Amino acid sequence: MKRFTRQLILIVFTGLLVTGFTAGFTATTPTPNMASAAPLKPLVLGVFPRRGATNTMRMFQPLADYMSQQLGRPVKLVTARDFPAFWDGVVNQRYDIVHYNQLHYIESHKEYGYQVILANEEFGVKTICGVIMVRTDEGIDQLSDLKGKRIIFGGGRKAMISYVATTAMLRDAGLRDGDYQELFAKNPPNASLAAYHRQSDAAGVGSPVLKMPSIKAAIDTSKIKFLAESKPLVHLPWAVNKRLGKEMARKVTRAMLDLNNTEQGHKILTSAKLTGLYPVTDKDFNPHRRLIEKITR
Amino acid sequence: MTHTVPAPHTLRHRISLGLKFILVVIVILAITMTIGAFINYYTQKKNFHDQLVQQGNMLGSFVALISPEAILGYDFVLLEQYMREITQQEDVVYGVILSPTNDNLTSYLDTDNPHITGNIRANLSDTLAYVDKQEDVLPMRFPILSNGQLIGTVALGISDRRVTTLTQQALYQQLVESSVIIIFLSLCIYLVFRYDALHPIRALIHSAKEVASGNLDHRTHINSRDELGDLANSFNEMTRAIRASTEEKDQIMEKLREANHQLETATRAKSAFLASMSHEIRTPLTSIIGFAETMMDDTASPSDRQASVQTIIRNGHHLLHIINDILDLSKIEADRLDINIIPLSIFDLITDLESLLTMQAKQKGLVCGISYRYPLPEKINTDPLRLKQILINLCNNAIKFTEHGSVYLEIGFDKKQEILCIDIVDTGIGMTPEQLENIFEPFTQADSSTTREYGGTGLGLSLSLQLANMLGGSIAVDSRPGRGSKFTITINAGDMSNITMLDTLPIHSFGSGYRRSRSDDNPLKLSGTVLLAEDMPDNQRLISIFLRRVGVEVKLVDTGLAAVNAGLGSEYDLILMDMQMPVMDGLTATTRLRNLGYQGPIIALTANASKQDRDECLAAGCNDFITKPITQGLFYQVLQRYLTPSDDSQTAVLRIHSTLLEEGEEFRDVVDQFLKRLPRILQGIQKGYDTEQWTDMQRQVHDLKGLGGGMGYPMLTHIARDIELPLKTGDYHRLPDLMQQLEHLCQRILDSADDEQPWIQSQE
Repeated sequence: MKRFTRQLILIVFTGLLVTGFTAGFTATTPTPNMASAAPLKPLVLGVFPRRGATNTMRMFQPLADYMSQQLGRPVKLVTARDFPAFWDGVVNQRYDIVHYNQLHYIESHKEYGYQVILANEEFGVKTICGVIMVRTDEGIDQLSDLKGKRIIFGGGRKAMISYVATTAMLRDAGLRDGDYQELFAKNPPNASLAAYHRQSDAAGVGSPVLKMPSIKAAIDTSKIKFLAESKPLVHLPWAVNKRLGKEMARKVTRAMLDLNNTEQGHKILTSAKLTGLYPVTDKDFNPHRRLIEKITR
Repeated sequence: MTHTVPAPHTLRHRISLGLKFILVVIVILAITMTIGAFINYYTQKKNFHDQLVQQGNMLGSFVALISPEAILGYDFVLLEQYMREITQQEDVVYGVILSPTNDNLTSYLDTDNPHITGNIRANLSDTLAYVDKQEDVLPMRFPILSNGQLIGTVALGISDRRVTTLTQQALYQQLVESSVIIIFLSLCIYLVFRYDALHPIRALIHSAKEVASGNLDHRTHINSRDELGDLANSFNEMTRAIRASTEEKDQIMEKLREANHQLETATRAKSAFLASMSHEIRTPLTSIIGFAETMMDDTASPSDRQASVQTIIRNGHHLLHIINDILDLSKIEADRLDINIIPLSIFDLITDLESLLTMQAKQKGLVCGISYRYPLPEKINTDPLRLKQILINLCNNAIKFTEHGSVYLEIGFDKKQEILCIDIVDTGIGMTPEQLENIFEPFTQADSSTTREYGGTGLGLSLSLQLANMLGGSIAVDSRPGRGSKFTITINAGDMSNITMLDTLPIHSFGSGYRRSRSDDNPLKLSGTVLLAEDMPDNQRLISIFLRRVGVEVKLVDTGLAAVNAGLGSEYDLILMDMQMPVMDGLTATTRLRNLGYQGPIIALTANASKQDRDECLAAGCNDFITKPITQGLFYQVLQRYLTPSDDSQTAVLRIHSTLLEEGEEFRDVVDQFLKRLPRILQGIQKGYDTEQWTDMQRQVHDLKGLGGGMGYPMLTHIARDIELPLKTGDYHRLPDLMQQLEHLCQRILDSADDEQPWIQSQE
């Protein structure tokens, strides 16, 4: 009991610490102009809190260390307590290298000039599908059955796969905004657990969610089924701030791609729960742009 | 005889005290520690349980507190993580968050938990319900509220199985430790008990066995002050007491054996004594009766009759002597013999004794002598009667057991110790050391053959020794068979202050030796009437003969009352009053006579010769005292004091001659000179009496007392002594009669001065 109590307090304390740190960092992040004036100033590696801030820091710190070693300059890993806070960093261009979802990239590319360089390979798959998941005992067999139901989406409305891709499927199935009640979980695993625990009638999540150990341990997959699944889309992107310049962008790309080829790189990737990284271009996100356009029309 | 009760054969009675003690200690400790362990177990279990519930409450409440945000934010991963973390806690069987409709918001269950393993049901609710039914599972529910609205429930299952197991293990461990402690403590207590109790008890058992086997010197040594120490001391005291008691018993037994032996010896001696006594008494009685019978024979010549009378008298005296000895001895044993200590001239005593000793020795043809070791005191303080009795006894023995040779007396004085020492040395048969051992025992002689050969009762030495002891002295004897014996008498001389020590024989003792005057036996004629109060006819007849023989008239009465009546009715010159009579005894009669104004002389007749008897008689009013059996000499001597001679007596004066002349004619001048001085001496005494110059009179009487005996006139000594006594005590009323007697005696002596016969002759 005490152990648990201590751990819980530690978790809370760490959360508060990270949140405060992040907030402090966000507040003190220099402007690009200021960064160029300091050649040895660390590169800022921003990673969105897809699995929570603490886990994100733990998962990607090896990568930051690697990058610092490879680039010959300090690389500072930062994240945020949630997606809006992280997005605020994107808007303010605090990140030199940034890892976020596809929608984030599309908007930051459009608005701030971020340039994609790589995308994730997770569970050995380079793409990801949006899926609508329901319990098998709910009597929902097709998307139209979700009319008037509660659908919980992992992440917010900026979640490319869990929300944009799944909502696009609902639109394709004839369900309009208001035909169902939108609920938002913190992330796709939570959305899937909410549906599993009957806190919603369906969940919009990414296809790998059921491959996640925590989800596999928490639910009986036999009681879950995918009601609909989108076309495969390029996985989560890695982009660089345009202020890095091409040479640095290339160095960054090269260094990160080298992770696929070395044992050390595999360890770093495994730590980040990735099976690989692969180069992508901005065109690879056009399908994503079309889906966005579909749900915002 | 002792009888041992067999011990019961039950196990309880067979095991030793130490084992019983250790078993009792173990049982008590085991019960105490077991009870303590179980109390501790249940207390600990309850405390753990309470602690468990408290911690469960804290945990559940905390999760319920932090869960609303996760629930409202659909952060089921976090909730799941919470439950995963909770479930990892010890004692938590499960942790699940339920929705208000009891749908589970988390699904994690630790399938490795033994409460869960094998108990998974179709849905989580059934699984929880099943698990909650397990005995050790405590289901706990904590509502999750948001703005007062129930949004979920934290379901916890807490198990006390671990705590119970731990508590049980602690109990088992405590029991094991208690067992070890019990064994250790029991061992320690046993060792203490063994040292402090068993060892002393075994020592006491050993001591008891030693004492039982007769070793009363054994002592128990327990160096403690507790009850066992006291018990050991008491045991030792008891052993000492037993030893003392045993020794005392042995001593008593030894004394009893000795007493028994002495009793047997005494019995034998008494038997022998009785035989001897029978012989000794029968012999004179035979002579007395036999010769008395010859007196009845009218044909007997006057000379034969005279011889018979003398034989009867001699045997009568001998018989009296035997009886006196027996009476004295019995008085001594009864502690009733009176000792009358008065100043005594040892020279006078020896002078009296010498004549007797000389006469007896001469009859046996023995040489007899007396010697003095000077200085000697003029007087000593002792009882003259008893001292003389001792000396006569020893001298008689010395003469009796000496056939040839001599008998000597040697008189000395130890001034330092104030002890008179008289040695009586003979050349007689002597005694062996074995014979000497018992000669002072009563009824004992050297041996029975001695009794047969020499006669005697065997009382003399025993009586003499006891008399000597009563006079503050003793008798020692040294003897060799065939060589003779030496008896040494020591007598305490009493207070010797102001006593003159003499280096030569005093003048009045010069020419020592006297012979009993026959005047004692043949008194002068007296006149007067005597009232004889006597109830015994034989005594009436005998005394009447004595009285009529000297010319006195006799009136007989046989009771005290009759004596009183006769005494008051007629005038008597003298009353002879027997003390024991019917109707009224002599004492009462005398008292009554005196009370009624009778003033004539009364003389007591009694067989009780003690000083107390004498004092009682005098106190009752008697003038004098005559003991029975009556000897004529003493009887007439007393009689002369109270009756006047008859007219015929003037012509029948008994002549009295000095016994000194018997020793040789060379003493005649000395005697003549004394006789010439005698009238002046008498006049001097008379003058002192007339002028009541008592001191001067006493000095002259005292001189006459010594001089009279020395000049061969012991009667002068006797009368002078009688006069000296009232002069000392101030009893002057007795002097007139005594002066009359002295005058009469002196007249007789002077009248006989020209007669050269050594024996007093009667001129009847």
